[in-house]
Amino acid sequence: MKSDGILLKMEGICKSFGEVRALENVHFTLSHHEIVGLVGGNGAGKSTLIKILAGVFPPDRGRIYLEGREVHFKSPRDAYEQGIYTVHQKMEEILAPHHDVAANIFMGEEITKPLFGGLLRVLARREMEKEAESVLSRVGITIDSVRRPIVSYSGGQRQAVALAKALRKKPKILVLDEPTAALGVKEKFQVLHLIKRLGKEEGIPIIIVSHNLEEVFEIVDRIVVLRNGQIVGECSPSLVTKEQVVQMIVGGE
Amino acid sequence: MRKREFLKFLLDNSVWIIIVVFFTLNAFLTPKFFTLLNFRNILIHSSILGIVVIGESLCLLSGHFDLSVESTLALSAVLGSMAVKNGLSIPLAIGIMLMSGMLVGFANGTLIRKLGLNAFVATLITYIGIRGTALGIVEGKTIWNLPAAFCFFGAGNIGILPVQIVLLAVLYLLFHAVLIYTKFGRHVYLVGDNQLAARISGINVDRVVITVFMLSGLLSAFAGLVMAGRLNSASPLFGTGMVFEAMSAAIIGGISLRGGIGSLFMALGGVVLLSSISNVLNLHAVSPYWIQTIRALMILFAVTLDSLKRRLVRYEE
Amino acid sequence: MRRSPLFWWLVFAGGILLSFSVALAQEKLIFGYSAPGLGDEGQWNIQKGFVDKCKELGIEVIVTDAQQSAEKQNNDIETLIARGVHAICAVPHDSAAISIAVQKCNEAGIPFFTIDRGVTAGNVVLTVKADNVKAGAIAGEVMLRLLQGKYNGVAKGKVLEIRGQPGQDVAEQRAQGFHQVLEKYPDIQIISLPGYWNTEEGFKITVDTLTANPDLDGIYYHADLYIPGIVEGVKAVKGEFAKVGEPGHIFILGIDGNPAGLDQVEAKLADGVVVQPLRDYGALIVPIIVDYLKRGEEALPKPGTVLVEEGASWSPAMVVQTAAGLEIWTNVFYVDYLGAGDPNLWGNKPRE
Repeated sequence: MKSDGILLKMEGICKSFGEVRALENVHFTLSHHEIVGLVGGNGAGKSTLIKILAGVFPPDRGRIYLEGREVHFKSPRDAYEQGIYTVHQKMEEILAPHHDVAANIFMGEEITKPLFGGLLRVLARREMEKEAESVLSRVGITIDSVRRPIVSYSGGQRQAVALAKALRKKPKILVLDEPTAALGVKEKFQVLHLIKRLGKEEGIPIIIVSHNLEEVFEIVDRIVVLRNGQIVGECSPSLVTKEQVVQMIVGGE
Repeated sequence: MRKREFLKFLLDNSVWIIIVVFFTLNAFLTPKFFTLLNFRNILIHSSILGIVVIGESLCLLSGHFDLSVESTLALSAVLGSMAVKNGLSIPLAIGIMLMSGMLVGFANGTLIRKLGLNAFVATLITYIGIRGTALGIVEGKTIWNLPAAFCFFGAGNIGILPVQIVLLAVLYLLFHAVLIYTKFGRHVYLVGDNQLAARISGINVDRVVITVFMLSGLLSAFAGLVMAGRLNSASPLFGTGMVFEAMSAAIIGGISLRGGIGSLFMALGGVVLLSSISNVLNLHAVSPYWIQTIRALMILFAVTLDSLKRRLVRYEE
Repeated sequence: MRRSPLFWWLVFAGGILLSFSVALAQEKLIFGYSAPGLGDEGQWNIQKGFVDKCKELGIEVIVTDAQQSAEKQNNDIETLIARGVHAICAVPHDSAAISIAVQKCNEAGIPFFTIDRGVTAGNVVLTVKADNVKAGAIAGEVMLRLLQGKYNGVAKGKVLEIRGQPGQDVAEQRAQGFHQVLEKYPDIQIISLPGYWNTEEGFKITVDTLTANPDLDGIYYHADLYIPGIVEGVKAVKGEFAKVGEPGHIFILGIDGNPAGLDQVEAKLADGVVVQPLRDYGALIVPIIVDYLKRGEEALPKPGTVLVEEGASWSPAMVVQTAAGLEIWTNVFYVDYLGAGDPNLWGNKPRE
């Protein structure tokens, strides 16, 4: 891996909440075209780390570099504008359930067209629907109509729409927090497949937080293990067994 | 699937279908109901409530209650009438009225978004406070005998059409277009449907909500102008209890109290239906004691239809 | 020896205490007045009459305003009890809901009086109110005379009655008196609809009824607030409004006599109004309260007697023992455009 391949670097990140030390001197990097799995027990600091990356709160100490430049996120909006797209827990929570697929994919970035010689601007529905269809087909999501509301689709399909929505914005980094936690077995498989495609074929760098080692082993390039606010191990899934990773998560030899 | 689509179409337009049935029945059952004069009456009766319902619907669509509409209406009527009675020019008086409405709306929006108050609580505060202000300004007195030009919006005519009816049509078309065709309108719906998602997706929720409340205040204040003209007077007790009627109309029209669902065109249906019901009850001069019960049954009926519709589109395993 | 500052403070405080007790020793009377909602013009006038009479007699009054809330009125009265007033007078917003506060008042030993409406439970020393049944009956008789005048002595015609809130005692009594008079004449048809004390509702009822019955002869309203709605409603349907005495005029009369109502009568928009002596309730009840505090039960007027005072608009008033307690029913009277300008009517008195 080339050194200039590093996209994100988090250096010496510390964060405390009162007496509780959530993160202690954490160094974390992400390369272009890489899928990283972030694992650890409850309270290990996974979600704190992601929230700092998403701009929910600033670190007490430490620096964040994106493409070699230092960045400061004052709000989720900042992180979002820098191209870091975070999807928390249930992906469908970022969707408006009673709006159609196209409206959801373009939420907040609706395309408008001029009316009466530019006096007014109105929504360009047709254009948005067309582009929504093309985004969906690009990621290989089959949905019968972009005009049907989200509530009429299954959980897996909703997740797929949420991912398509993220994709359209061409994120620099996609952060997925427990993307399959709320799904059934078959749908879980479909969504994992989709994430893998996004990472491998579309080349989008992804950070996945997950409890499920099974799926982490299936899709990631690198596993980062957190315990008590510190990184206690990094490894490639092809070189270790699940038991070894579990050992790292719970601690002790 | 065909049948299901058709059923959905029927449910989507349920209010207007009920209105058609209701009108047909009463054409035979109620004397003088099916006359041009009476249709005109129904539309005149619908106009003031109708204008208030536009504002209330905007708020409901964005996922917020606005209890303050009726108080804003009263304050506006009282302020404007005081102004013209004290020799201010009519355009200036109308400017003061509309301004007062927007200020109340701004206060509501700011209390909710900047202070983090629940919409119900925030507008309850203005609902009480603004009515109190209206009462305080005139010490409970009724102002009457207003200049004819001031009454134009409430009692004037354009050709053979009463201004009120023209206003109702124009405002509904305008705001329907705003909601359906503009980015702002889309954002109102999205904020109501899932506020968090809207915020994450970069929609300026504060701005949308504050704007919605300002529009609601503006429309209520305008309704106050129409009512003052209609009744050639202004009382701080104007519009008492109207907020419940406005919400009933919106709910009958299928606008969800949780936000994000419904259309203004259907809310107008709710207004016309409520006005037609009371019109028929008046024409028949039935016992006054049962009117509220009939209204409640209508709301129950509309809400049942609505939940049926939801079930029809929801994904099922 | 120098006095410490504390000493002077104590002297100062003692002085203040002393002057307080001197003030208390004068035994100045303090009354509490609980209004149901001063936004209403009539209520404001009742309150004004009460306060004015108290001032005249050198009595201090604490006025509270329940703003149309039964709950707030209960709280208001409790506050007045805590304040230790000598007597409380209230206009109940809700006759049943206020009972709790009345009972607390009884327990505290503070005499309780009401104006305009009675209470459901608890001891009320005396209630002063207008005779609403009689007001309705007077309106009925005037309407009868007008109809007979129109149809050459024959009692027939169609009359719209715009009521108040269905179920509320004032509205029911005003309806009762009116119907008592007119139901003896089967050719007079009465259409009764509730206006919920709402001007706009009055407008709608007028419009709808005139549409269904273009031959309507008269309109009887339960409160003056309906008049603008009635006038505009007639205009909206007929295109123009025929004033009193003009051809095509619809008889309009009702109950209240507030400033707007009297003005409308004077301007010949309405035929007349049955006036209640709202502003003078206070003049009647305050001296009785003062007397009661001095002499107790025997200060109260005896049931069956008629109170008369030259020149007072409440006079003559009947003293009646009802199931609810001792009541004084004041006079009500009808004024048409000739009398509507009388400066002694409550609606014509300046508000300052």
